[in-house]
Amino acid sequence: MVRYAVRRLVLLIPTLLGVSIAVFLLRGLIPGDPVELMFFGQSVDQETIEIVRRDLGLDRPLPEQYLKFLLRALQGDLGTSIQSGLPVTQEILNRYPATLYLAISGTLVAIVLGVSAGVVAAIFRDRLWDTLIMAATTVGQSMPSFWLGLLLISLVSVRWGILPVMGSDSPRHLILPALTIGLITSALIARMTRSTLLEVLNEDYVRTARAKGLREMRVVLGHAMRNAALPVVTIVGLQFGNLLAGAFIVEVVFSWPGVGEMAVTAINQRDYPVIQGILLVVSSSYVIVNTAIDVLYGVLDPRVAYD
Amino acid sequence: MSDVVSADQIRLGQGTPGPKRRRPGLLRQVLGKGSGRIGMTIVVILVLVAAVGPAIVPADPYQMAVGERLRPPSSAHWFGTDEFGRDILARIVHGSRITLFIGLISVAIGLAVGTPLGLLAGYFGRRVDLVISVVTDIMLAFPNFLLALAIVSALGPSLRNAMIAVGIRTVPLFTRLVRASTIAVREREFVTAARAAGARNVRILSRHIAPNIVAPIIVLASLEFPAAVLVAAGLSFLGLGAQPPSPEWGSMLVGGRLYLRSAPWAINVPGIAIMITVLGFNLLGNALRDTLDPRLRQK
Repeated sequence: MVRYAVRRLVLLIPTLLGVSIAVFLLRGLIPGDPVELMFFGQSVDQETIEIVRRDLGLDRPLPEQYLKFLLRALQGDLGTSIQSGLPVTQEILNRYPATLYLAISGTLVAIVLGVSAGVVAAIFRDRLWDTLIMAATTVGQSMPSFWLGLLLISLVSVRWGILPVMGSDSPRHLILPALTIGLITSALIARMTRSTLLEVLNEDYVRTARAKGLREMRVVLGHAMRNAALPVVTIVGLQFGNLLAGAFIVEVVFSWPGVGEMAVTAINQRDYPVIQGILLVVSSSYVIVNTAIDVLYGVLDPRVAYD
Repeated sequence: MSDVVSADQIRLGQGTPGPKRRRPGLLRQVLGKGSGRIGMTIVVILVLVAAVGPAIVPADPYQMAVGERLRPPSSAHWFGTDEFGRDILARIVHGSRITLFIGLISVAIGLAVGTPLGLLAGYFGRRVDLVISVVTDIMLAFPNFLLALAIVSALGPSLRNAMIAVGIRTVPLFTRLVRASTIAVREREFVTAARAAGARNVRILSRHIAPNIVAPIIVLASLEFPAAVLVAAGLSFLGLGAQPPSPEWGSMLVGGRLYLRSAPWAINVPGIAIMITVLGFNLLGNALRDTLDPRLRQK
């Protein structure tokens, strides 16, 4: 068990290094010279460009540049934003909590909706409720998040005037974006809950529980659900990781001041230090969350650790 | 669908799979399910709309008319007009080509790059596998949407680059699937037999392994198509994909979002169009998966 956890954690290091190399190399893909891009639209002579290039270390060989990039990143220095002139780390730290807050709230909504819908569907297998819930999840999985978000705004905020349209000044601002994310994510969780629950409901101990006269509710929630929880936990974890980035669109729809909105602005302004910083931070969190789920899975289900 | 090589033919040293045999009734099996039927219907209608629609719809999708701004649906404009007075029906019909094109190109990139890489990694193992797998793992370490976003940020926002980005995003998915399938097939007797009969690697890969891993590839391709449409529409919505005045569906919502109260059709028509498209391909993909790959069938 401990060995399994340690192995997973050790594997984290090469993965994170790989991610950092990919983020670093991304700059190489950019058409055009990065320094000339910095001065885009301004007239500067070749000499200044050379000086800036040397200042930024861009005249050094790539491996050396990467090492410098990595060492600085490890010390929490992700460079300076071309647009604002502020340290990228500081800007991300200002924004990341809002993204996390939204992702966590959205995941909670998704768990509540998804697990209950999945349980109901499994209990009423092949009957009306099951059919309705499965149809709803199929539609939900096909819905673009930005349209759902706009639809909620136009109904709840614009037509009924119940909730604020956008921004993040009060907890009331959180409801619609969290609901948008939660509704879409809950579709997958509902399907997963239903299918694992149906699998578990065929097990011997479930039959035993039923045979000894327990009520169906007790059987499902007390006995079956406990064992069906594992795959559901995995899906929830993976979705949470995806939400850290997938929530980007929803953030833009609701003008939620997270890293997503910041990333889109940075891409349009070609502010590469900011883009690289966000990519590095978000994908590292994703990798770390996924590893944490793997380890948790091993703790919850000892069979996994012996694989 | 796939010409499954029967072991006998190879033991006899014939190598070639003989007369092509089609698995009977794939289409009938897919259409036998309610969801498969609905999915197929939607997809066929979409393809028809994209193929002949632009020739039938009279309005010009780019023609602006200041006097006709944000008109509600009527007999003149079935789906209303947008903030520039352009006919939304015409834009949806013309945009359907873009949407189908995005799905096709993205999946084609994933297939064309991912499949050979997966075959190489799975078949040769060792160092080849190590290099390919490391790159695949790193790409998969990025959250799905973020990978596409990262590539667009490097290439610059445009419809073409969004398609490339969404395509690259699917490459590791194909590589991983093909690699795993290849490893499973590699050790089968008929491959050993072919090798013993003196077949070279290229022949073994193309004649013996590839035909036997077609089914899961088709399933993945059919399920990645709608995913690609969604991601690309999302990129366009963020202004990182198709640029105005393109009638791409995701970008149509950008202009409409400022008129939620006065002209809800401006966002709802393209929104519903995207949803129905993705729904149709999802249903069809699920039905294909259930038919071709029973192991993956959802309970």
